[in-house]
Amino acid sequence: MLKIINFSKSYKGNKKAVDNLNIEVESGDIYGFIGHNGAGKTTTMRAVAGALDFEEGEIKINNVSIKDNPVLYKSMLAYIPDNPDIYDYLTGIQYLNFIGDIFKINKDEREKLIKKYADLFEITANLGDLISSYSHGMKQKLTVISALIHKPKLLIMDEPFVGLDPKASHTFKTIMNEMCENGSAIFFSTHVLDVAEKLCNKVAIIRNGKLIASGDINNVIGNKSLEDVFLELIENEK
Amino acid sequence: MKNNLILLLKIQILYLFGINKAIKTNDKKEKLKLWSLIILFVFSGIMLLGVSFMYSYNMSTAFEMFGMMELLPVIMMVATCLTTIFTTIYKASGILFGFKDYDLLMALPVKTSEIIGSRIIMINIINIFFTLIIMIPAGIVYSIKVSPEFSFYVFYIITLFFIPLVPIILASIIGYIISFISSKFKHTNIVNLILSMALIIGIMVMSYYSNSVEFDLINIKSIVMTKLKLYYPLAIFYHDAVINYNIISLLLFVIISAGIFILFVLIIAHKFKSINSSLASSNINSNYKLGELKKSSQFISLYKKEMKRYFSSTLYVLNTAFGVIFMTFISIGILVYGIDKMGSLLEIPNLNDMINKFAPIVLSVFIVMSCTSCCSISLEGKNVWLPRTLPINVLKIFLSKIAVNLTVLIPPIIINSIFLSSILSFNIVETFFMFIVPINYAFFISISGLVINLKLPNLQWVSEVTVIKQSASVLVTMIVGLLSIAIPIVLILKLPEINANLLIICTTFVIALINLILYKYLSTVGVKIFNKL
Repeated sequence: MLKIINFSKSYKGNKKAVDNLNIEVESGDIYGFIGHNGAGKTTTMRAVAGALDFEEGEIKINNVSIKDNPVLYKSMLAYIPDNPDIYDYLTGIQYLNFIGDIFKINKDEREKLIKKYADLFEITANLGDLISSYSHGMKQKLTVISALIHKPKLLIMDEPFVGLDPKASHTFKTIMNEMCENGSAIFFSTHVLDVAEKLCNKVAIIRNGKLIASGDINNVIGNKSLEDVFLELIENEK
Repeated sequence: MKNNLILLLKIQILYLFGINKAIKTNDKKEKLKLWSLIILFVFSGIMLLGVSFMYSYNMSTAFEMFGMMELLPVIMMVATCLTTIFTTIYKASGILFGFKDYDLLMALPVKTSEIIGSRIIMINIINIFFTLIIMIPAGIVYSIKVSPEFSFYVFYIITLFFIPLVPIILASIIGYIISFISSKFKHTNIVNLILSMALIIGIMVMSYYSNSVEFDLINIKSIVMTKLKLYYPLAIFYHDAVINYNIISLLLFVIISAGIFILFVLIIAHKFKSINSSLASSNINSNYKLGELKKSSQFISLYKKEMKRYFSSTLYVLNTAFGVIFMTFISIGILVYGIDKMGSLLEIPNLNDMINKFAPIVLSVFIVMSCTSCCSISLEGKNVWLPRTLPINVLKIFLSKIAVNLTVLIPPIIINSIFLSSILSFNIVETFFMFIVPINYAFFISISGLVINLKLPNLQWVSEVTVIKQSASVLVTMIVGLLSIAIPIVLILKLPEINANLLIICTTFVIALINLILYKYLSTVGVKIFNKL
């Protein structure tokens, strides 16, 4: 599904934020991406989502390269950033309809899915209000709904649970599992290692832009907890 | 320990025009770009100083004739106050209330009055720029013609820093009243827009009635002084201080200006939180019921989104639609009063001659002043991740932004062209030019504005005022637009042996060719730049 091949990204000053990263996310995977602050997670997420340009390496979804065919590539994914900065001059429903138009979702399907997810996240009554009036959590819910209504093959998320209330988090985790059962894949970064351990079947650990462990979660952690393994790996790499 | 007021002020100054970025960046290309812009700002300032000097000099010649030279400083002081009010009225409330770092600042252990004080001083610093541009040339002209005593220079320089204070407070109050009334309505922005437009038109109408008073040339001095006494008594103290070197008047001018400033800060500090809360509160119904949704094409959906963005900001609309509103105002004026009367009302002596010689270009002056696209990329701000991750051709995003500009420009062009062509009884060729030339310029300013914004983006803004009114891309677009108009006008005036219509046709072809080149640039290089933002 998603292939990140030899991906490197340098910012001004030539320090590599991400150095030669290789990750493969397969259909049905819930893939956790773990690292300390400034490790290169958001850089990677933004590059995969198409929000960040890069020179070195290649990123593909179902063999479609982001560089060769960005429109087709992006039509297969949904991105939820760490901060839900969305058009706050639109109402919730206007924003969802805008996303529906861009992803060319047919009218009936659009109405059905918006209703389904807005009800699940208990935000239907607020859809007529301006996004500027929403709380952080409500914006996050709206971003999640906008990502789900076009049934993406790949869901990219940067710290998706920040701002969601416990019920919404639970609902979202259920939806994530359903999506993967239906053949989609999820690649997300998180600092909440308990969540990653319970939810993911695969993890990748990044430190200072370099991948230090990756693969099936059981192979990575063995009998230990993900937190212990993470801390050990980070210590050993110092 | 540094004073909080100075610390807060320093943060704002470092942000202004990207000064800190220019100093601190290690990227040579970025540094060069920022310094070039700073040089451009300085250069524009010098140009404006030159224009202002000529204006003061011409005015002083007329004053000299009637022995009224002493009116020059006070008239220019009033002009400074009016400029300050006009340039501050719509940005004051954005700088004072509802600014993005409000939460951050209010959580700091500083007094509210220090926050407000720092922000008003910041507005004052921006306005000092206009004050210096108007007052320094006026002072030089006055000293050349009158050779005043040394005290004049001391008094003149001291007062410079106090002139904008009261107009800023006045503009802030008017701006706040407009924002406050609008916030009480469901459609806040539309009400805000209507009130703001009404204010501009009201001032124009008032200025018409005050101009229509027949002046008695012999008594003009006393008439001006009586009017000033009535409308702006501070100007009388100013006049007495700089002309008669009256130290009491100087003290009164300084103390009253500073006193009003301090009083305003203290009153606002008391109500600052509640004012901000009331302005920030929006209508929440929370009773939405899902109904039928309307499906649109990608382009139409982007266009609708851009239109909503446009009308969501009163400042954006006023700043970019002012040209076409003014154009329509003039057309209606010509229709009602005739060209000559309109010319004298607008103080454009050769309006009749100008319109008859190059009406399509005159119309286009207002078109190039109305560019929405030159800050439309910057206005994406932190939302820029969104269009960049959507599965759409970037060119469609560009076209939707250009389409907004054309929507603002083309309907007024058509209406005004019909108006003017019929009033001025143009023949079919001239009427054709009246449509094609401004429309061509509309495409030019929309496309070039977008290209310039792509080259000079500012996505890290805190207040949209900085993008809409003070950004480099807006300034450069304005210069490019005015040059595109100035060149054909100069050619028509300097080459009277060549038919003016022929020159207009040539200009149209050149502009159309530039449009094609810029469009090609947008679809290739522009897309790449957008992807790297």
